Amino acid sequence: MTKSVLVVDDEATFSFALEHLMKSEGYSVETAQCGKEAIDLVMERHPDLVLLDASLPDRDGYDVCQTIRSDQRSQDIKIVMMNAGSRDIEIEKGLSVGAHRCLSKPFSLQKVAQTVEELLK
Amino acid sequence: MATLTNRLERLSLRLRIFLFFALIAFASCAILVVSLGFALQRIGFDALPHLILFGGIACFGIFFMTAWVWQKFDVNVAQPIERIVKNVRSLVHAGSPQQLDEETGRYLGLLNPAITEISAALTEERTQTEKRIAKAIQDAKKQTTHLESVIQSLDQGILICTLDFKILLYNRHAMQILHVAGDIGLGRSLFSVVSAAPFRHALERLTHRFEQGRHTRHREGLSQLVICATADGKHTLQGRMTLLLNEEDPTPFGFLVTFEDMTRQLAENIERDKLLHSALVDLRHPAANLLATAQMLDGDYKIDQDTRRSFERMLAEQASKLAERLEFYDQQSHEMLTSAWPMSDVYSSSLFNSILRRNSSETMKVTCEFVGESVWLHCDSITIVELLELALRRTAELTEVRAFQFKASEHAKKVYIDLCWRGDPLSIAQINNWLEEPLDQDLAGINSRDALSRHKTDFWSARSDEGCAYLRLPLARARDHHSLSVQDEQTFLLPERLEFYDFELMERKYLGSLEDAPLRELDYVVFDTETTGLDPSGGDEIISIAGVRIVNGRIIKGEVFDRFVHPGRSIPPASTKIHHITNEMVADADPIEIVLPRFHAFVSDAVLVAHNAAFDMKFLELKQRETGVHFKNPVLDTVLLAAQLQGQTSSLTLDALAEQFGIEIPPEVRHTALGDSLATAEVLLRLIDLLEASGITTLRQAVEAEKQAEAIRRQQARY
Repeated sequence: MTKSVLVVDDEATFSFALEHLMKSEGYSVETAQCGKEAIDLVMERHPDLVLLDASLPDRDGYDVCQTIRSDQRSQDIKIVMMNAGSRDIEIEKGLSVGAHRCLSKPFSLQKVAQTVEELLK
Repeated sequence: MATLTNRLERLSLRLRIFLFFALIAFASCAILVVSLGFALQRIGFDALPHLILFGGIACFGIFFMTAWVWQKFDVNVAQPIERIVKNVRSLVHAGSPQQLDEETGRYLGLLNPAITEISAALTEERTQTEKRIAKAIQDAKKQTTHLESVIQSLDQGILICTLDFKILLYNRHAMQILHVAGDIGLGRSLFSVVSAAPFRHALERLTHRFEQGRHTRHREGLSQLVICATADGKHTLQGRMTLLLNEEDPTPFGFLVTFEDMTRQLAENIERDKLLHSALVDLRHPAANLLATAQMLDGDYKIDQDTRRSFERMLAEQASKLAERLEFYDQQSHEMLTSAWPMSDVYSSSLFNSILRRNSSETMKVTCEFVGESVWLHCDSITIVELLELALRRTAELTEVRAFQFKASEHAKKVYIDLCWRGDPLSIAQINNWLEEPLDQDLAGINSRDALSRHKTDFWSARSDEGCAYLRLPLARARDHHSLSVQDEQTFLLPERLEFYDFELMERKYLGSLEDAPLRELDYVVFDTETTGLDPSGGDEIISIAGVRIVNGRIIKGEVFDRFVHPGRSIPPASTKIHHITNEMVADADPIEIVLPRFHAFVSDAVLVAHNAAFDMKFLELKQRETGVHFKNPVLDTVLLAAQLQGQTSSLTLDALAEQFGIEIPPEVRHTALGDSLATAEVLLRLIDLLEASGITTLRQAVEAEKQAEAIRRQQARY
């Protein structure tokens, strides 16, 4: 069965690239531009994995991550956080609030593909 | 005739009395011989043998009687008078008379009781005067003490110098910032601790500004920025020189320098500049390549499929290179740990105690304790205290928990400050709600987010492995090692300096040669050595050397040199019995090759003084070749000076002189190099009083007096 990935990023270019990458890797892909939309989609579609940007226009990405992880309905969803700030602190914060992996921007597409594959195999 | 009288006056009282009696004896004999001559003419030469016999017996009788009377006179009159004179001089000049026994002056009628009465009256009068003076200066001293403690505890280094760059005042921080332990000293040159050119230049500018009267309208007045290096060139200092003016007559008399160590800040700024510069240059190339490639692909250019493919590959390569460089600079900038906001190293327990004090004053009814070990961290403590206090308050409100623990722990380059409680962790949304709240009004309205941003950190809450919830704040670890380095340890271990200023040094007017300088104005280093034995030429070695400075007639007890020396041989038990220095005590000490050059630097150009200086100087001289250190300083010997002043017959040991002058040597420091140096220094100051009273006021005269005393000792030693 085809695994599904939700890409949450308000940067259209980046989101576009990730969407195509995931599709080319054989996943079914949904996209969201803000935190609220992301949570709605998670609850509605229950994706296998969320690629979640840490800074979203409406909500803190860490808050979104914590919300997904704290809800029993979405506890099993894998989350990969993508951040662009102070590297070690953000990685640690992301892992503390429930992310499975954290990637610091900029990163290569191969690395995202590899991380997603590891989490979904 | 006048010359003969002068010569006679210079002889001691006892010798003069002896000569007087000798003269009587010779004169009597001469009269007898002349009388017998007349008798011979009258009686005739037949009586010659009888007259010679008679004359011989009479002369012998005269000589015997004169010698007997002289001996009685010497013992009962001349010697007591000398003792009384010595005692009176001690009383007058050194203020410490010795009680004469009743036997002394028994045959001098009421002289001794009269002297005793005068002594008592003088002592009483002195005591009263001293009391009045002490009372009068008490208030002034109180003010001075306050000022001294303020200067000593100031966080900046402070120096006050004369216009010829001699140090008049320094504080504890000056020593720390200048990274010196014993080199800095009152009356010494500023340039023994810092580079000369910047100070000369600044003083020249300030003096010029003052002379032209421009200081009244100049933005900086009589002040000037100075950036200089320490004498060893290892540290950069930034300071401000301010010209000091006399009150009544507005002329400069010296300058004040306040300064701080800029070494680290400069190094960080340079590092940051370098990083920024190299980042700009380094990123420009991939950016230019990317732009060119992207424009080629996006533009209206005729390119075939293969070329397009090449451009696409180049685009990917350059983007990847750019990402790599960004990663590198990101890493570098985080390792720098610098922040434009001033921060300092704080001990976590101090931080927690501040929070506790605020917590109790806010009556929040929560209990809070600190667990684990304290660690050093680097932050702006007031902001972090406010931030954590707000976090504690908000967490207590949100969780309704009343018992908390603060914990600090080190992780790689970070220190985690954790607020722990039993219950559920806070959500990011809950934390974010109060991140925008302003902290204390006194902190210029900054909020928690600003505080986190200043510290390049963040807050989050989670559950620990032990099941407790925590709110975590990562902060940078302290930048300094808070264990004492060797240099710092030396500075730290120094006694609280009792003398750190002497403005009377400014009054020194004498600029001629050292030999003609007044004894009272000379700088001395009074020193002593402890050795393995008494035979320097036979292999005995120095095991301890100490010295104390006398500046402007004052013993600078805070500026001492005191080191053990590894002798390279064992210490005989007989020697250890005297000075109590054992082989173990010197086992880790530096050898003489290291200690002597340091002592030489401590001595600088001062006059060397020791009790029985010949002995100590012999040890130093024998080490000149191996250490490369030559002591060309003038040397004074307290034994010879005392001998010259008090005669050769009295006891001249350090103990005897100390007792005579009322100097107390604690038994535990007697026969230690430092203890004996201090006692000798006290003796020297009393001797200078007595020397001045005897008309010996310059170094040249003192050396001459020593030579005379030495010659007499040599003669005496011959017999």
